[in-house]
Amino acid sequence: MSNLCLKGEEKVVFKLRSLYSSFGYRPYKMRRFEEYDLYAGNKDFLVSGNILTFNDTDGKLMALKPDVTLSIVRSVRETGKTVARISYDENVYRVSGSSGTFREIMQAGIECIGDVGLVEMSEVALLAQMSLSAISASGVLTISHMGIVQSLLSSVPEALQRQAMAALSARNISLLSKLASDNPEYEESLNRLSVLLTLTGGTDEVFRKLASLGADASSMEELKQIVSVLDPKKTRIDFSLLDGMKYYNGITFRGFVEGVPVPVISGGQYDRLMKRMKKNCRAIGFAVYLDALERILEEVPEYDVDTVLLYKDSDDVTSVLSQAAKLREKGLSVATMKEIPANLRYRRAVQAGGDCNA
Amino acid sequence: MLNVALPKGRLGEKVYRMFEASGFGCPEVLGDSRKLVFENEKTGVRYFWVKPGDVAAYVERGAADVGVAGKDIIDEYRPDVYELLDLKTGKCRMCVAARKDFRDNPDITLRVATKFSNIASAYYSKIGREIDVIHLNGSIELAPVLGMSDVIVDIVETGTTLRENGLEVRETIMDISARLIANKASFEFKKDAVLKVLEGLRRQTEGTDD
Repeated sequence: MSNLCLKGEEKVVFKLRSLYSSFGYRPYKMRRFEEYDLYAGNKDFLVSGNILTFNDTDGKLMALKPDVTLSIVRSVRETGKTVARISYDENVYRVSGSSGTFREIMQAGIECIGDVGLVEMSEVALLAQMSLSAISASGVLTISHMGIVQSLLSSVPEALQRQAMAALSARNISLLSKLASDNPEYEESLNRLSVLLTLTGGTDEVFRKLASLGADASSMEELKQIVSVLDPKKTRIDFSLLDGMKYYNGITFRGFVEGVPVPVISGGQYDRLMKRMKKNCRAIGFAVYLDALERILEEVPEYDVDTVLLYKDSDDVTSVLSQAAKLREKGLSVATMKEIPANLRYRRAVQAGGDCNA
Repeated sequence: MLNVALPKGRLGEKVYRMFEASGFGCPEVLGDSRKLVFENEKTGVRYFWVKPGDVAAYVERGAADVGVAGKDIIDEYRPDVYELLDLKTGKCRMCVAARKDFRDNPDITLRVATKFSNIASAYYSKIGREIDVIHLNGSIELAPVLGMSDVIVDIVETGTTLRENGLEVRETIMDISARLIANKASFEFKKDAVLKVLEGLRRQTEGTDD
């Protein structure tokens, strides 16, 4: 009965919590507010740059948490010799969707911080895929490696690199071709990016083509290893995935489920953020955006209440309540009322004092 | 010279007749011309046709001294103008409509498609409901049909468009009609003309209550 009272997204949170704990991730409970400075310096890491702020009693500018990763990174005392595995499910406050207004959003995720190697990276990617499966049978994980894209552009000047990356991220092949023809000295590098966009099919073929393009060998090995532990039917290599270049360096990934128009999982390796926050270790993690799932997880029960117990003002209060209690003992939900609202869906209505077994 | 912004269309033509009957005639206005500005020096009035949604902007900025705008536009854009008179014409309702089979689940965010984001937000904020506003510029009825929104907030006149798309009115947010609006500075500097218009129109609207 209690499980029936859980909302779809709460059920997913429980599933995720037990999944992450089975991989040795320890839940981390944070306070709801952080000092504004933490976010102000890293605004481009946040999904939305808008932050709800207020002054604490001592005048300090505080923020309602718009993100969890930054708080975890700041609090972890990891030296880089071991690995801290942290999971969370927290409410965060940020501007959501097209409404442009602040909302409270439930977010879950994991962070793996410290001496992160190929085992940890593969495991995190696998957990991202398993999280998708916990949400929907139709999940797809898209995965990329920043090192591969950057190695193909290493000879290109930074300003042009940025333009090329933006075109790659938008899958805008005509813009990539134009950049190539406008910059003949870098034409070869830029044309290689257009080829990257065609590499989304079977992974073996993808790696053969990548090698022929001259992509960085160690990044390719890393991606190949990580992809090998994932379900090939639910994994797509996608080099247009270039968000958060200031923070991500190795693999990056996103999870999609059918019926939700936006990614529901987003993550990757963020050693650059660690460096920026003066932490001498590596890190990888992802977030699950549960607000995006509200629609597909919605379960509408057939009835709002099983039994309506109708009473009159003249009825004895104690006997009305005890009659309702008896019905509840049978496992039914019971609402006592004098009149039934027009839009209430109920299985049956019983008059107080009448025969409840009828 | 009193500058009057009229909303293009049937409502504008009807309202012009009311201005004419108040002593501000300019017969050219209803002709076939493609001109946008019409002047009658004798009656001291200059009319121009603008998009109904833009009347409030012309009046607020003082390009027009007075104008006729729907209550929907006034409430949506909240222009800093005087709302002098309910002209009791161009009547319709701002409604919440949904698919006939839609059943609201108050446990989740309601997705509302509308051209009137401010009106919709204010309405749902008053009843304490969390919504996700999807701002559209037209064919609002399509949104719930395609499952993009749960409900729409839109103007309903006869309800034919709703019915033809399998939608029905669930709530009425407010009644709408055309209003005489005036620029606040013009009201001071052209007070006599504005009051003459107001008085003339008021006489015609008296006794037209439903």
